Amino acid sequence: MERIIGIDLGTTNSGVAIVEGGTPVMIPNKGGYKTTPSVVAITDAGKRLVGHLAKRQALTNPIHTVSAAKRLIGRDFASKITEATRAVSPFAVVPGPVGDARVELHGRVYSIPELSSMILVEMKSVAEAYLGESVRKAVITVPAYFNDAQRQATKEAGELAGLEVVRMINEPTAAALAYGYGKDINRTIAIYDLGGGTFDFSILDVSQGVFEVLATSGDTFLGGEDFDNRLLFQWLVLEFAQEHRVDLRQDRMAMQRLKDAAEKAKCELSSARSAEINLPFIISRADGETLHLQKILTRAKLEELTSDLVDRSLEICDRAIRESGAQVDEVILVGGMTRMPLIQERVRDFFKKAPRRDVHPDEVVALGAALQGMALAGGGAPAVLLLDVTPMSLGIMIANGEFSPLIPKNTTVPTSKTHIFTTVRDLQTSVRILVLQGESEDATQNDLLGEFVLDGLRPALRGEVELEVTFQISADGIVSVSARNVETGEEQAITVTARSGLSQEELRRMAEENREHLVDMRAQERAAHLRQRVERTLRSMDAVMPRVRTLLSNNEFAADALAKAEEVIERARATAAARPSADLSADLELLERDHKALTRTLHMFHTVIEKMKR
Amino acid sequence: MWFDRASAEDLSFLAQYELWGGVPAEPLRLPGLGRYGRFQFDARALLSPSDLTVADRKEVIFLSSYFHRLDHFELLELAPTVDLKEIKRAYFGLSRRLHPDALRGRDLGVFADAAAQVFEYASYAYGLLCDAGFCAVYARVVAARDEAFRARLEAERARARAAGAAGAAGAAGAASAAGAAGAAGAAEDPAAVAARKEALRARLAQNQARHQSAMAGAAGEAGAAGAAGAEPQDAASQARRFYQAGVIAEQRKQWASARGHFKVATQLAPRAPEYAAALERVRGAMAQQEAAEVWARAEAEEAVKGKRAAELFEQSLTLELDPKRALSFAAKCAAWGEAARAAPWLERAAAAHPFNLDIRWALAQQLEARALFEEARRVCAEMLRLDPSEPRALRLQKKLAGASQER
Ligand SMILES: Nc1ncnc2c1ncn2[C@@H]1O[C@H](COP(=O)(O)OP(=O)(O)OP(=O)(O)O)[C@@H](O)[C@H]1O
Ligand SMILES: [Mg+2]
Repeated sequence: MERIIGIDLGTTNSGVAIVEGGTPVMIPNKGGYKTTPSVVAITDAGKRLVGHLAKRQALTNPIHTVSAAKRLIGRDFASKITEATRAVSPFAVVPGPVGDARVELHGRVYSIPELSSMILVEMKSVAEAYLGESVRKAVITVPAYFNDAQRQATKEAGELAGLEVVRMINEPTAAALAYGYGKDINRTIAIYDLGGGTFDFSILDVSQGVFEVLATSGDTFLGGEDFDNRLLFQWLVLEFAQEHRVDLRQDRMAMQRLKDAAEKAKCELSSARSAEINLPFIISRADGETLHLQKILTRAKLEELTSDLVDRSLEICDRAIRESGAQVDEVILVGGMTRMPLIQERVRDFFKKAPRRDVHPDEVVALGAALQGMALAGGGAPAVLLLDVTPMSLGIMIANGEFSPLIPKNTTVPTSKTHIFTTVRDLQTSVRILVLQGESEDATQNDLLGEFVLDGLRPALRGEVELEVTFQISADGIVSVSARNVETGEEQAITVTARSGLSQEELRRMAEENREHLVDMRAQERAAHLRQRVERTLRSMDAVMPRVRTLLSNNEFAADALAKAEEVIERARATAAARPSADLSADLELLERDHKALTRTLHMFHTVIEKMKR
Repeated sequence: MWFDRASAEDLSFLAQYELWGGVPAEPLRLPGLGRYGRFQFDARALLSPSDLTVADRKEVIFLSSYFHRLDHFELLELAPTVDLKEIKRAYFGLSRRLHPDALRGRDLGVFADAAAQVFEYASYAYGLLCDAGFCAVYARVVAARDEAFRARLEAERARARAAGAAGAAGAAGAASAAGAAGAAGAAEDPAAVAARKEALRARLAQNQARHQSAMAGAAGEAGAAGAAGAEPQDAASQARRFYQAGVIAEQRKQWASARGHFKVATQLAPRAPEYAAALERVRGAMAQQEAAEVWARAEAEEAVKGKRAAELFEQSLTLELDPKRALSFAAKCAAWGEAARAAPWLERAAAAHPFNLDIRWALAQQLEARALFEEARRVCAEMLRLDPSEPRALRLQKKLAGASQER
C-alpha cells in the first residue's frame, strides 16, 4: 500500500499532512511551521525561492515575488477578475498563448500551474524530509466553487510537480472530514470557509463515516486579500493622498510594505481593539522631502470598511441553505479570516448558534486531504467515504444563445447524463457544441469550458437530425463530454482539457455568429421550456409594473409606451396560458415572439427605473 | 409489468419519471423469506476469484440480475418509508460496501462491472427518494401494491383451505388431490356463481369508468379538448385532437394512453390512414414491450426453476416473434430435453423472418436431431437458395446425402 499525502494548496498558506497510526498529522517544514506561505520568488541571480524565504524578501523584490497566484489559476487574461488582480499586484500579469493569465518574472513567462507546482514541490519535499522516503501520490484540495478550468489547472500543477493527483477534493469537504473523523456523529454540519482568496460554503450530512455533501456554494474571488485591499486602497492610500498629496500607488516597494502592514494590522485587530501602522520613510516626494506613515486603525474602522464583504459571504450561505432546505445542526469555521471577531459574530447571528471552536482553522483542510488519501489507498474498508457534489450546473449553449443545463448543481459526483438535441436550421450539416458551466439562462454569462464540432450530418429539415450529447463529471469534478449522431452512431468525444482561450466577449460574438451551427432541444421540450421562461419573465414583470406605473404616471409621452407594454404583457400571458395546439411549430413561433417582446419590455422598464433613480 | 391500481393522480405523477417512477406489479420479497428469497445463486460465479466478500458478491449478483423487478425500497433493503433518515442509513450502508471509492484498489474480478452498475442504479434511486415529493407518492404506491399483494395471497390461501375442506368432505370416493379440486369446483352452488359473475361485471364497469376518466385526464393534460369536451365539435377536428394527445403520450411512452387516444381518433375519423397507422404502431410497440417484460419474467422464473418458465417464454414469443428470443428458446428447449417443443416456434420465426439464416440453421439442426431428414434437407435447400455458399448448410447437406446413401 502506497502512501498518499494530503496537500492544502491555499491562496496565502499551504500545508501538507499524512495519516500516522490512524491519526492525521500536519508535517512541519524546515522552520518548524505547520503551514508554508504560498509565495514564489525569483531573485536577481535567477534563484527560485518558495515559502518563508520568498515571503521574507518580498519587500526588497516586490515585482519578482508572486503571492496569491491561486487567484489567477484557470482564468482568462481578459477576464474581469484578472484585471482586478492586475490592478493590485506588484508583479506583471501577461496574456498566455491560449488567452490564459500568466506571470512574467525576470523576462520569463510562467503559467500559473507552473507557479503553483513550485509550491507543491516544496510541500512534497517537506513530506519527503519527514518520512525519509520519496512521495509520489497526493490528494490536493481545491475550493469547492472552483470550475472545471481551475480544477484542470490545479491537476496540471500537481503533475508538473511530479505528483500523481489521486483525487482533488473540495476544501470545505476536507475540513468536514477532519472534523468528523473518528467521531460517531450523525448530524448536518455547515462549513464556512473564508481563506486568503476564496470563500466556500458547504452543507453536509455525516453519519456512519459517510460524508454526504448536500449543497455547496461560494465565491472564488472573496477572501482575506479583499479585506487587505479595502484597508489599502480605501483607507491608507486615500488618507495619505489627502494628507500629503502623494499617490502611494506609484511606488511598488511602498505598496508592498503597506500591504504587509495592512494585513498585520487586520490580524492584530482580531485580539486588540486598535492597531498601530507605523511605516517610516515610506516615500520621498518630488521636492526631496521624505514622508512617514503613522496611523492608528481601530477595529470599528476595519469593520466599517469590510462589513459588506461579510454580507456577501452570508448571502451565499443563505442561498445554499434555502436551496437545500437543510436544517444545520452545527457550524464550523475554517480559514484564517474566520478569526476576525466580526465574522464570528455575524455567523453566530445568522445561524443562531455559536460556531464550533474545536477545529484548527489553518490545518483542518490538509488533515482532511490526508484522510481521504488514506481512504483511497485501498486495503480494507475505508474509515471515511465522501459523497461530494458538483458546485455548478453544466450544460451547453443552444439556439438563441440560451443555456441548457444538463447536470444541475449539487448533483453527486461521479455522474453522467445523456440528452438528445436536434438541428436548428434546414439542411444544417454541422453543429458546434459549446460546453458551459454556470447558473445563468443566458449562455454568455456562464463559463465556457470548451467547444467541439460535429459535422457530416445528413442534410435534412431542422429538428430531424438528432444528436445525443453525454456529459460526465468525475469524482474530481472534472468534465468530459461526448456527442453522437443518433442516425450514424458516429461519435466524437472531448475531454474539456484544452482551454479554449475564448473571452466572454468572444463568446458573445460567437453566440451571434454561430446561431446556425448550434443545436436545440426537441420541439416538444422547447415549447415547454419557452413557456416556463415566459411565465418567469411575466412574474418579474408583475413585480416591477406597479413601480413603473407610478414613475410614469404624470408623463404624457410614457402613456403610449405603457399601453403598448400592457398589450405585450397580456398577449404573452395568453400565449403562455394557452394549451398546446395542433401545430407545434406555430406554437413555438408564438412563444418565441412573445418571449422576445416581453424581455425587451422588461429591459426597457429596468432602464427607466435606473434612470429615474438618478 | 407495473402496478397500476393506485390513484390516477399518483400514477400520472410517477409517469413523469418514466421507468424510474414505475412500481413493479408484485413485490419481489415474499413474506417470511430472507433478502434473496428463492433466488438461486450460481455457485461458479460466487466462487470466482474476487476481493469482494461473499456477502457483497451475493448482493451484487442479486441486485444486478433482478434490478428491473425491484422497487427502490427493496433495492435499498427498506420497507416503504418517507423517513429520510432511514433512507439515508440504508444508502450510506450500501455506499460503504459498493461505492467505487470503497472498492478502490481491490480486484473485483467478474463483479467489477456489475458492482459499478448496481451502485449507479442505487444512487439514482436514492436521489429520487431524497425528493420528499417523489418519495411520498412512491412510498404510497409501493405500500398499496404490497397491501394488494398480501390480500391476494391471503385470498389464495383461503381458497386453498376451502378447497381442501370441500375436497375432504366430498372425498368419499375420490382418490387424487386433483380429483378433489375438480369436485370442489363442480360442487359450487349456483347462487355463489351468480354472485361472482355480478361482482365481476361490477368490476369491469368500474375499470371502464376509470379508464375513461384516466383518458380524459391525459387528454386534458396533453391539451386536447378531450372526451369530456364542453361544446360539440366536428368529428374531424376532435379526431385530430385525440390524435395529437396520442402522439404526446406516445412520445412519453405512455402506451396505454396513446392507444386509447388513437383508437378514439380512428373511430371518429375511420378513413384517416394516419390514425390507423398510429394505432397499429402503438399496438406493435405495446406488444413488443410486453413481450420483453414477459420474457424477463420467464427468465426470472427459470432462474428459480419455476414450472411456468416454458409457458411464459412461449407467451412472450406469441406477443412478438423476436428471432433472437426464438433462437434462445430453442436452445433452452434442447437443454431441457424437449427439443420438439421449439419446432413450431422456429418454423413460425423462419416464416416471419425469411432472410434470417440463423433461425433456419437452428431449425435444420433440430429436424436432423429428430431424424426428420427430409425436412432438414428442405431447410438446407432454402438456406442455400439465400446464400449458395452458406457453409453450415453445405456441410449438413453433404452429411444428409451420405446418410441417405447408407440407407
Ligand atoms: N488572526 C487573524 N485575524 C484576521 N485574519 C487573519 C488572521 N490570521 C490570518 N488571517 C487571514 O486569513 C487569510 C489566510 O487564511 P488561510 O491560510 O486559511 O487561507 P488559504 O487557505 O491560504 O486561502 P484559500 O483557502 O482561500 O485558498 C489571510 O488573508 C490572513 O490575513
Ligand atoms: Mg484554505
